[in-house]
Amino acid sequence: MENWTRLNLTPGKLEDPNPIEGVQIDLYVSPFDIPTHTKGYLDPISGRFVIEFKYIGEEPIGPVGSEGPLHLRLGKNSGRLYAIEVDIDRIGASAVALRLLVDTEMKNLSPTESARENNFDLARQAIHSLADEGLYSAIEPG
Amino acid sequence: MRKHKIWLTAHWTGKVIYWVASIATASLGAALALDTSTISIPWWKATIEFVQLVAPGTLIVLPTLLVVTGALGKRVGNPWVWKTIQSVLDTLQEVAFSANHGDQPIYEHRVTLFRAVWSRRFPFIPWLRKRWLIPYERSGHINKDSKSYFRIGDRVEAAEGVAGMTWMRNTVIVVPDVLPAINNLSGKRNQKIARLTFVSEKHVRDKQPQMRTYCGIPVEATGAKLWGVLVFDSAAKGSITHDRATIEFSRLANILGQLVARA
Repeated sequence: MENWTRLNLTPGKLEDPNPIEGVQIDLYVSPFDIPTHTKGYLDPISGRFVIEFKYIGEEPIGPVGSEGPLHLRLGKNSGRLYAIEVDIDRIGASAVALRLLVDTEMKNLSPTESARENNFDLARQAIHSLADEGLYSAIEPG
Repeated sequence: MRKHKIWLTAHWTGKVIYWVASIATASLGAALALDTSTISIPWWKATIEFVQLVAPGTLIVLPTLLVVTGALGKRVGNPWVWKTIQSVLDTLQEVAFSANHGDQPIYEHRVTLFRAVWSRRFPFIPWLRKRWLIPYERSGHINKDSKSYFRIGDRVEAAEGVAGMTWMRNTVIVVPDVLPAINNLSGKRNQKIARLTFVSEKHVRDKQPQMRTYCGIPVEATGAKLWGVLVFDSAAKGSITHDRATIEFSRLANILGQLVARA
């Protein structure tokens, strides 16, 4: 999957951490935290499989950090998840193994800022929804 | 709300001073290089000699003026940006409320852009921690005299208004059903209005808010920097929904982000 795929994520209401008795207010994720597009590809230079996300607006991306076998690229100003990179050599060049690794590691992934939790959840949803739609098509099925 | 006439005057005055100072600086430099003994026209010679006399002091003042007017010009912004932001808000007002005008006239459905600033009196000082949300622009051609400002700061509990709470939580907040305030009465009704809209009871008594539905959306400038808040509010209950507001906002969010980065 070389090209961007448009996402149609529709996050539901958030739980109000400070509910006020008798008062109904509804909280939702900021539109800026919702990924609008994604793509998965094999980076020929680094040899890593990369899943990238696009959002409304742009920002500089910070240096690559690591969370276990996943390497993360986060927005410099917002801390949003812009890309996940996986060393293919570690797990073998197999889409099945890659998908399993990403699914497992994404469940345990937490942002350094709690305010970005919603954004990471949506990234998980996006990966899950496109896993059967060719997200890993750049890799041999295995 | 931004007083366009004052800011327009400031913008063009700054531009004129900038250009006059630029031309004067260049002319001074040229005059300093002239050898007056070669000038035969008496009045021209006297003029150049005078300019050469005052040049040292003037060459300190003029570049300083250039720097100051340049910096102020950046803070005042470009009138084209303000007008385009107004157009964006008018468009949002039209499309976000179009399904639910009902019997209400369009001016009872409002879209207000709030800007986060350090000081209400000196909103053009950019560098310090943001403490207030002040109205920057509003849809339509009336209701422009708003002086509603809301506190923001370090703690969520101290935030005021739907705008303030939207800023602090950096999430979309929808308050779908608020009763309108009743004149000068305190009591349970006004207490509930105050709790629903995150303001004090005194605020409700003084301002008498009549809006029944609120939706606040955080606004980011280019570079994912939180800049302010957009508030949809309406005198008609349930006239703005999360889906409607965010779908229409998302279409224009990128443009709005680039505009407010220049505002």
